[in-house]
This record gives sequence, C-alpha cells and structure tokens, in this order.
Amino acid sequence: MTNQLDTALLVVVLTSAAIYLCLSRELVRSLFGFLLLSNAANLVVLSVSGDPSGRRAASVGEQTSGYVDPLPQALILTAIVIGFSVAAYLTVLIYRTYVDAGDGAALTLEEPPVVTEGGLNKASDTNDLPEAHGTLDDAPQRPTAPSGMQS
Amino acid sequence: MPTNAAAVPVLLPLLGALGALFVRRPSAGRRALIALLLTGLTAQSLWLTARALEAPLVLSLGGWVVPYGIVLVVDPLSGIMLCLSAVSALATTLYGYAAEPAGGEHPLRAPLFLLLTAGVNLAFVTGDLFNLFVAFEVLLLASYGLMTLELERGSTRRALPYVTINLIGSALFLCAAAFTYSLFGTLNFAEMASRAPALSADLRLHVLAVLLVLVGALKAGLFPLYHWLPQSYPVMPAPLTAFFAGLLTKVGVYVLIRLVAGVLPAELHFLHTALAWAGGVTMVVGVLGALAQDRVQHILAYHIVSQVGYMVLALGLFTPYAITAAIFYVVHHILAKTTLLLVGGVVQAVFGSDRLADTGGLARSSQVLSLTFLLQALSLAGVPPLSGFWGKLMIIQEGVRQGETVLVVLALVASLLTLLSMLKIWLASFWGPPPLAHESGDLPSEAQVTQQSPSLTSQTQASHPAAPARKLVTLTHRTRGMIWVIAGLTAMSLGVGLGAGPLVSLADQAATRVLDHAATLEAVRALNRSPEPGKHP
Repeated sequence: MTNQLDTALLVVVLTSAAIYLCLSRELVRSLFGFLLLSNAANLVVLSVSGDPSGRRAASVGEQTSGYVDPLPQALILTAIVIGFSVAAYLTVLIYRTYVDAGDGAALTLEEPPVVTEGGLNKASDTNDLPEAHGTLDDAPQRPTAPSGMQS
Repeated sequence: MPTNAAAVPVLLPLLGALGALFVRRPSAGRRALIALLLTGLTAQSLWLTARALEAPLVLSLGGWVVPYGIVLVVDPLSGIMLCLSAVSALATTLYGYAAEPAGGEHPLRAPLFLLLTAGVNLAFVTGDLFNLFVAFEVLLLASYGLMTLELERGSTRRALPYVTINLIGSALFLCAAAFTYSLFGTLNFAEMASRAPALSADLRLHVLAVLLVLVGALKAGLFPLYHWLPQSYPVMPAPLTAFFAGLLTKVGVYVLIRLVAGVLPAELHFLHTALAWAGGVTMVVGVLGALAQDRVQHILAYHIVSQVGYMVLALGLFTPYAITAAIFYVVHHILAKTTLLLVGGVVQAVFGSDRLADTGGLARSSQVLSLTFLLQALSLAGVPPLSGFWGKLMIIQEGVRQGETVLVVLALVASLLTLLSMLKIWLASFWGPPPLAHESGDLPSEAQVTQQSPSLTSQTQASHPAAPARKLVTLTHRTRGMIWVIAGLTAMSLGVGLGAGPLVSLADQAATRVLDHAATLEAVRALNRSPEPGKHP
C-alpha cells in the first residue's frame, strides 16, 4: 500500500478542529464539530481503498487489474447518507433547544418530565402547542391534526 | 443452512413501522395489529432459535458471493437475543397500551418503536461489521426520535448527552470498520475470525481490538463510559425507558461477546483482563450511584450500569463457562430489568412522581405489584432460587477458579449493595406510609387517591401519629392492566430462575457456537455452493 500521508494529515486536522468545536459550550459550534467529525471518519473509510494515483475507478471493462478497491466507496456512500440524516436530526434538536430557551422556558436539568396516566396527552395539549415551534414537528403531536390533513 | 427466514426478524418490524406510519391515527385497530405483529415476531424468533440449535441459519442478501455481500447469520446466541428483543418489545408495547388510551398515544411512537426493534434485530442477526454499523445507526436514529418525541417543552436539552455520546461512538465505529477492512481485507465476522489467528501478534490488531471494544463498551455503558446512561434513560415514558434499559445496553454487551469471543483471537489476554476489571469497577460504581439517588427510575437506571458490569466481567474471564454465564446473565437481566422499570412506571403513574419521598403504601394497595417487585429486586440482588442467583453463582465460580479474588469480592459487595438500594425503594414506596394529603395537588386525576375517614385510618395513625391525613392508594383500571403485564414478565423471569438447568445448557450451546469459529465459517461459505443463492426455501 502506498503512502497516504496527505490524507492522514487531513484527517488529523479535521478531527482536531472537530474536537475543538465539540467542546464548545455553544450548541451550533458543536453541530459544526460533528459535521467535521463525520467527514473525517468518512475520509478514513475512503483512504482504505488505497492511493488512487495511477489507478482506475472500478468499472465494467476489459482490464482486470489496476483498480481502486471499490468496496470502501460503497461503504462511504452508506456512511454519508447516515451522517446526513443524523446531522438533520441534530439541527432540529438544537433549533428546538434554542426556541425553548428563548421563550423563557425553564432549562432545569434536575426535573425529569413527569409521566402519568393520561398525563402525556394533557401535557401535549397544554404545553406543547404554542406556535413558537409550530413550523417544526408538532403536527403529529396534535391529536386532531393528522385527521384534518388526511381528509 | 441457507434460509430466507433469517431476514424476517428485521423485515417484519420494518414493514410494521412503514404500515404504522401510513395509519397515522393511533386507533385500537392499529394497536391490535401491532400487538399481533409483535406476537408473530416472538413466535418466529422462537422458531428460528430452535432451528439455529441444529445449524446456523445463513442468508446472503441479494445472493452475492460471500465475503463481499451482506450476510445474515442466526446462531443460537442471535436466536436467544432475538427472542428476548421480541418478548420485551411485546411486553412494553402492551404496557404502553394499558397505560394510555389509544387517543393519548403519540402517533409517531409506534412507527419509531418498530423501527428501533428492526434496528436491534438487525444488530443481532448481522454477520458483518459494516452492517452492524448500519444496524446501530438505524436503532440510534429511532432511539433519538423516541427520546425527544414526548419530551416536555423546555427539556430537549436533556436528550443531548445521549445524542452526543452516540454520535462520537458512531464516528469511532466507522473508523474501526475502515481499519478492520484494511487489516483483514474483509468485514465478514466468520472470515475475519479465520484470518485473525495469523495476526494475533500484530500490534495493529491490538489497537483495532481496543477500538472495537471501546465502541461496544460505549453502547453497553461500561465504566468509565457510563455517565450518559442514568441521565438520559429516565426522561422517556416508562414503557420506552423499560425497553431501552432492558435491551439497548445489552446490544452493546452482545456486540462485545460477538466480537471478543466470536471474531478476535483468544490470545488477546490484555484485552480480557482489561474487560474483567472494567466490569468489576462498573459493578461497584453503578451500584454506588444507585445508592445516592432518590428517585425510583434513577436508582434503577444506575442498576443497569452495575449489572452490565457482571456480564462484562464474565466475558473478561473468557472461558466457555464464563461466556455461558454472561449469556445466561443477559437473559436474566433483560427480563428482570424491564420488569423493574415497568414497576417504576406504575409508581410514577400512581403518585405522579417517582421521588421516593412522594411515594408510599403500595404494599397495601396491590399485593401482586409488591410481590413482582420484591421477586425481581431479590433476583437482581442474587437471592436463590431466582434467576439472578444462578448468573452470579456461575460468574463467581469461574472467578474463584481463576483465582481472581479481588473481582469476586467486588461482585459480592456490589450484590449486597444492590440489595440495599432495592430495599430503599421497597421501604419507601411499598412499605412506607402513603404520601400526605396536601401533596394531592400534583396527583393525576386518574390515579384516584381516596381520603380515608379517621376511623378507618386508626391503624395508620397509630404508627404515624404526626400524620394527620394519610391516604390509601387505590389503583385504577389502567394500573391493573399495567400490573398484569408486569406479572407476566415476572412469571417468565421466575421460569428462568426455576428452569435454570435447561437454560444454562442452552446458553452453553450458544457460547460453544460463538467460540467455534470454524463451524460458522463453514456455514457461511456453504452459501457460495448453493445452486441458486437468491432462491432459498
């Protein structure tokens, strides 16, 4: 296997930047940290297929040698899709945290939500429906909304 | 033997999740269908386990040549795990049905829960490392969703530790998978195991092994990577907490068993010692954390950490007998822990809080609930003849045989402390006096707490003269339904304890198969010889 020092250095830079950002108290910065971290991991996967210089991409053809190993490229596609969906989730979670904090809602870490019989239903009726986050994900939380949308 | 049935435990919940997504409104019909689906899943898992005892069931998805395609392998260990996942999914779902009316259920809970089950099952049946990564991501994404779905406004921040730690774990896992491919030239477990002995002196393999174990340990909540667990699990509704607590950390334990015993060479003694000591410390640290808590669900969440320590200690001792003990312990733990957290859910539902000070008097209200809690608590502490006793006995036997005196003492101390922290719940919530009347403001309307007239409470007042008005807790129709589910699980758990003989021999077979790398390789390679790989019976 040929030397891939440049890739290794890039992974190091990306990972250190990611760790620096993740350690920040600000949530948006840690979001960017995670994006960098998943890219660094993807780059590691890509580097496994070997130094591409002087070699062909795997394709159907006459030659049976001189190809770059195609399997890591299949893996990386899966990893990118997964990383994208996690990033989407994280963005929404952080946005929601901001909206909640901005509205002056208590951000206590001690008090877990009280789950009671039928209490969830009431909680989603009273607490969860102000229009502040109406653009995000509350449509399924509103018991009446799905039927309204379907009819 | 090649069979398409190996994919059913993944496909069935996946299709169920899709179906539930289309039927948006959670009606009684949708609930019945999901319960039916999970019952079918349980039956199918039992059938798979019975067949896997003869020979491992294998399936190459898409019919690709073996080391390159995705291979599903069901061996007895996978079968046992599939059965446990199906049973615990069914039980927690039924409990959720009992706890809430159909209209009160969040419409997205069922699809996400089924997706989570599919991800968990994929992790159990997968035969290659990258597919395991995908399974982890499927179950993690579903669990992120479930964790934040029903959080109260303003408390989304509480899901962050769980999400953060798992994102880091995923990146680590991806790198580990890449290194595995560059070192072994394959990601298939069976092929890896066949190539591992040649590499066992290679430093690269040692680094990779540590990385893989780190990923498993993170999911399992092993010391020092456990802080996220007790913080995040109790924020969910009780049935979800119970499912997560019972199963998700055990996916980590399963991965550790599969990788350390089933793939990595047996010569990695430093790794086994490290695992045993990490397990030992986890047991004690977890139970000390539990002792310091004052909420039922938090105490139980710390116990998950502590109990994972026993399984990992058994794996670290690394003999066939010790791995048998670890597998048996997983069976015991999933049933016991799920039940206990469901009991915690009943406590929450009845009193509107699971703070020990706000609860009391359950022993007089429901003998069944008290009995189930007592049995499971004693089982967790390791009192014979309950299931936890046999698991602990086997682990301690093996520890004594190997001369690990300190670890054996740690296990015994942790067991005693477990009993102590369980007594804390028992004394407060079950034997303790019912909460004072003036606290009734935060009680839910459904949990009816009747005020007793002075003449009736004379007995209570005699023992607590300072308390002017105590209440007798009466259970509602819904609570009774929840208790029935708990009683069913307890009966199964009792069966595990009383029928320990056959179950240990089953676990023994599972452990033997995991350690028998050649037979698995033979079964997987046989796929290449079947006439039409895509069309199995």
